[in-house]
Amino acid sequence: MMQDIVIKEGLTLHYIETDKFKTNYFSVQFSLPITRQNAPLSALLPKVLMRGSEKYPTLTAINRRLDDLYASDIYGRVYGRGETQFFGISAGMLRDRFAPDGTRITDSVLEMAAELLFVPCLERGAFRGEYVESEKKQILGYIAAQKNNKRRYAVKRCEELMCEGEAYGIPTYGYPEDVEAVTPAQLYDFYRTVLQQARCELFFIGEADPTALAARLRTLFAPLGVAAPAPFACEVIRAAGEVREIRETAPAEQSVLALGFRTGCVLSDGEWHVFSVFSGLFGAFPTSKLFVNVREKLSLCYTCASMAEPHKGVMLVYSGLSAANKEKAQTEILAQLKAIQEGQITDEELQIAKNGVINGYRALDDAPSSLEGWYTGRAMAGIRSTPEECIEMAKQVTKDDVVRVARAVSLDTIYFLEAEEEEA
Amino acid sequence: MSRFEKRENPQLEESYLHLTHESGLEIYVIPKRLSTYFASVTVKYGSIDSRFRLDGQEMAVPDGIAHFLEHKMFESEDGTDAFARYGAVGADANAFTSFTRTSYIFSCTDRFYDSLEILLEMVSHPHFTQENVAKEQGIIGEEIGMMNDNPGWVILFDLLGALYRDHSVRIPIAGSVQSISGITPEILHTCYDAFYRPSNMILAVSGDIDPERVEALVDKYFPAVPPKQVDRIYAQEQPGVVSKRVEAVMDVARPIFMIGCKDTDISPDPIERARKSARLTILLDAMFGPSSPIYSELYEQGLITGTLSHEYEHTAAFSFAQISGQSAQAEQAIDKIMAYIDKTVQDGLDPELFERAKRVSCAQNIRSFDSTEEIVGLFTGAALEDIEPFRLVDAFSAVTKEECDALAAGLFAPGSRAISLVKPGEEE
Repeated sequence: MMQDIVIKEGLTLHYIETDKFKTNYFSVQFSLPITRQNAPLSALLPKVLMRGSEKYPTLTAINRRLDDLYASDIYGRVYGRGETQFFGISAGMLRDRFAPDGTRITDSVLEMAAELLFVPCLERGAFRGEYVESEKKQILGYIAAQKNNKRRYAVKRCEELMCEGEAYGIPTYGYPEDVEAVTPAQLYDFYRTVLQQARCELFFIGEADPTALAARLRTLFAPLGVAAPAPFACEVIRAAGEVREIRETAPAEQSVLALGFRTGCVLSDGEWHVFSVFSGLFGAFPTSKLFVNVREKLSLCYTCASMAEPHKGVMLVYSGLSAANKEKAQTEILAQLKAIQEGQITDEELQIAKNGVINGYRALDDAPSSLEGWYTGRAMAGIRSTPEECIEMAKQVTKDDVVRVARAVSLDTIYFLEAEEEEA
Repeated sequence: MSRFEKRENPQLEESYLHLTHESGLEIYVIPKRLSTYFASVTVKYGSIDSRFRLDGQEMAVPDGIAHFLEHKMFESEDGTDAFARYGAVGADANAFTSFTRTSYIFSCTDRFYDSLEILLEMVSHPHFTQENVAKEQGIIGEEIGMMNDNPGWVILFDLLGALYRDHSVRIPIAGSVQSISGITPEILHTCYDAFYRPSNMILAVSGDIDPERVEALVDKYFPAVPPKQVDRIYAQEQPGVVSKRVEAVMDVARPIFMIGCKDTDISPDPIERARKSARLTILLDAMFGPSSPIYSELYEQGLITGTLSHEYEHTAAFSFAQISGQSAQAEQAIDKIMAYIDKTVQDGLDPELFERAKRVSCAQNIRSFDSTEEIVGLFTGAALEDIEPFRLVDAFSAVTKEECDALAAGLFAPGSRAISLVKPGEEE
């Protein structure tokens, strides 16, 4: 069970006590509403902080220290959720009892995380130019490499096109030209602002004495001046307008079809468990209608699945296939959605979907990162339901409930990444 | 009185139960208090096993058949598919095929024994028809298409083609659209009968599990059957590579490179192989891991995007190691890595790097006990190689720097290296 401990005004430690892991997990999570300006800055910041601090000025110094702490890891990360950009650092470490030589691993890792966060390598009153330039190159590399995975690329591209002009459509790493333009001074200003004004949450999952931990964090995080955090915001578009169809090409063997939908339902509505059961019926599992019909019955593809985002309220269906089968697959995908909307759901199908959703809730506490994600999502939506409560609610979901949420789903964008055989 | 044998490792604070069932099936039960149960049945049958002698008769079957069989095992005689049956009891199921194994897995948080029964039932009841084989050819054809667009996959099999002249490890796991077109229900049955025998299979389960109930279910689905004589036939490979360099053009952002080393020094003794695997883990991590001088040099000079990844496969049938990365200046990165390898072979590993890598490997072994899935993976891996699992874990602490130096000298012998490159097309 999660316990919230106030470290200081505006800074909360979310502590989940468990002794079932051999590791402890700690994270510092900043968040800001995503904008075109701050996307590249918030993507770059954790990476630049992870390049060196005063005490550990190089990559080698950082990594060697982590090795000495029994392969602990501290890593910078950034991810988008809804229209919020999350960024910060996370750490996983062996619990002290498993260190053969009595090393105090957890305390050392917390100290190191604070050092990396608050005492970065500076030159002329800004981040070290070499580190910033080098990390810009890395990010540009990641952005460019997204096309290496055609399926993921098509899904992202469909989402971007569908949400053009909405904050959700801004890529997590920002646009390449904006990444190029970032200067060390600008990034350092952003860092100063983040430390004073961004929302920040701490997570600790594992075994510790909560009072001692809170006291330690109070000291280590003293440099953080947290203001009253702004509430999470996300523009929700409940229903799609006219369907847009976009076709692009790529040199590849297989084409990818991605369909973007507006779900008509978001987590804060308090009915996401119903939507999850709908997803289970439609495309989230290998028992779903999409897998069973588009793949198994019609043999049109290897993958055909759906995934949904609960804050923005978008759902993507994707399928890798031969270009010639595009219309057939698209017709069948939409027919399967219509079938659910018309209530063509057997009791068995419903039960299987509910089982899958419940299994997902029950498995949450087996990974610190899923627990962190769960509570972050709840905080964003302003709801407090626990996994246990969601299990009980999912059990009560009826066919009528599913039909109701399914009817609110509307097709927004059809994106087709068509393979063009390349001459070798 | 349980017939399971219990073993404990006090340092890890872990234990397990083992039983060789009458049928020959090896059973491992690893108790764990997590919400997720995990189970796997692994058949010692993978993509490399396309030639074998069955009861004295030599057989050559189409490439990709082990993977094809894996797909087909999900269908049962009454027309239902195993995914639906797992779904009805709330489990999440999957399967995968590699060079040397086929694994059927599920995870669940409830009704574990119901799911286990589905698993044991599905692997012991094949159902192949003309119609369902034809349908699968379509699905797997699309899977092959997807893999052909995956640069990480293409670069690996290009590399294996450069390293191996004849050995079946060079064939992509799923075969080709052409090779699978030759698969028939009869051939599937032959392969099933040859390899899907309890004595050629491993069951590993982890969670809060009663071993007696596991055994009772195994009794029900795995009757003792007379063993069959199956001898796998692998091409004998000489040291030395087929070509030193292979290149492909794909729609990638930047060049991707993979440096491979073919290793023909394989001991017939499983314990010796486990020791060598431990040395390989430590050696490669010391040389190319995040703390290594080559990684920071390449990263700091902007010569790689992301990490320098390194992996190896060391099995009774074949052995190779590979180091790969993405780089806008791949040639420069490759040259630097090659020079670094030569220098390490000449001077030996930096003792400090060696000690660190050893410490890291021990910690990672402990950390793998945080997930029932990883535990099952670890135990299955050990069983596939005929090693007592805790012995596999212990092998790491015995590794010395001298052993790693000797290994490096053999593994990185100049004639055993090849480079595989995937490059973007010319800019217009």
